[in-house]
Amino acid sequence: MASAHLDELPAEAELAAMLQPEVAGCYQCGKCSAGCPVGGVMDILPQQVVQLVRVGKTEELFRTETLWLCLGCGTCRSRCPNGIDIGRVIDLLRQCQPASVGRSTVKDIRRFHQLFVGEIWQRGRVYELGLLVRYKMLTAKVWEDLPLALRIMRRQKLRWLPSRVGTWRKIRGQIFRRR
Amino acid sequence: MSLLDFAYYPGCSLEGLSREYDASFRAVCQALGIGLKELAGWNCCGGSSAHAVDTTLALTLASRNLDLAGKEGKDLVIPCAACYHNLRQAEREKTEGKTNLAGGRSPGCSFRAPRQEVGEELPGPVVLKRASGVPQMRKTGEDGASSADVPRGKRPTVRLFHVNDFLVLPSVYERVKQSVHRQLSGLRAVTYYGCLVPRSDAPPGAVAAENPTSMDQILILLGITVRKWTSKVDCCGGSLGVTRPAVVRRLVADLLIEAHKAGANCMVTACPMCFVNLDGRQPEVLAENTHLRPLPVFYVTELVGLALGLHEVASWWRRHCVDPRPLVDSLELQLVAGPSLRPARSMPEAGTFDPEPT
Repeated sequence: MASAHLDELPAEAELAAMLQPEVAGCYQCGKCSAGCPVGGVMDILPQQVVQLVRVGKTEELFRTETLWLCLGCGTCRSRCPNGIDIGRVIDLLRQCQPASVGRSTVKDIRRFHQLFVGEIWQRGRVYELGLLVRYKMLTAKVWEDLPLALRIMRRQKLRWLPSRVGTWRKIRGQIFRRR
Repeated sequence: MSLLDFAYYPGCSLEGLSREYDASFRAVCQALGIGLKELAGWNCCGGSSAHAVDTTLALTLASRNLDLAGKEGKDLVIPCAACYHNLRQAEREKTEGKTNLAGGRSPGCSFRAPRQEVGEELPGPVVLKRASGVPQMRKTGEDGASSADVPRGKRPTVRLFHVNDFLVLPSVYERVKQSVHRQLSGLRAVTYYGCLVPRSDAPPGAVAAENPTSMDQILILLGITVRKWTSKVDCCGGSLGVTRPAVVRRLVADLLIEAHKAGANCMVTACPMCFVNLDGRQPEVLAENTHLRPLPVFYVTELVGLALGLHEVASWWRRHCVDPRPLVDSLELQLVAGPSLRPARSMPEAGTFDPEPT
């Protein structure tokens, strides 16, 4: 059942055992790494992620930037001759990463995803302006994208007031089940 | 002409950052006599973040929209690539019990919802129903729709269409064909599908995953020259546009270089995220790469609207960061004789454009 959550984060061996069947077919051809749009800025390549999972070193994966740089574009899965869904492997690793572990350089990306989901919790839809402002404030990058922000504001692309699902407060408890 | 009605899932971006996509899609459908009914009470599909935080949550968010569409009982059109991808994933999960890793469960969750207020729980589960734990092969019908173990009586199955596939549906394509008012010859486009839509539909390794053609077909119908290039399904950087702008600027620069090499004078997309990265980031990319020239970016629906002779086009161009008006004004628009569904009003003159947004 989808609602059956594991209450505790799985231990390293347990996590590896869960992921290993998915990556069992890998023969390190490197198509995933060759096609990855962000392979150039990753600290380890997708094929290395797969190899670390195969040898059970998931703790090591938690300390990579790659874990949070993956875009989830699906190029690796689509081109993998063995149908390995590396994006899913990475997503599950992200979910298992304890909050205290991980590279400080990519904490902001993790933060962004959490803020995004927080937006959904709030009103069922994402309020882009609120999300962007909150993210840039929290990560102290207020000035980083000011030119882009001005360009977008001038063209009235962002809505000032959030849109919401009318009955959201009543139904969100069903969707965000307590873990 | 027979009645055509679709349910419509706009998604969060189309209410904000890509309002021109929403406006042009609605205007085109109205001009073609296609009814659109926005799903009442739709919620966010989870974007590109929910699946990173909690798999179960991501699937539940998307599948609530599928349930709404099922109640509506009409085929659903989704213009946003990410929304389409997420809803398709949830659909697969429902109809096939797709054996995702960990059976679609979340091993953990890094987002903690605040404590529930008393009385917030409502009966009536919105959670995913999964088939038995045994993985099942997908049974595919002729139209590609799954005919797997869904109790049809209980939940009417609806089909999901991304805008590209919607426009090449025979019934829709025929209407566009009959209502094209002016040929947009003079536009040399490269079609940019982005990463998500082709890979949502085509099985891994399929030709369509690397070389989709639906958008090409519709542009050719409008009289546009479609240039061949190899970046059709490359990724624009998605939400790293917020968190790692430098990475996205690099990816966008690569795409612009490829488009110029292909001899294109515009780029056409059908994804809000791609558009924001390609159009919104382009001024910065051009400043960094002085050898590149500006390349207007269009939503596919905007070009359909232009070819239909809709007068609303000016309000769409206004929201572009790379001004497409010099290009559009330079086009030799060849009027096509023949019946039009809706008498087209004249295009606004170049000088009469009202810069004040309404």
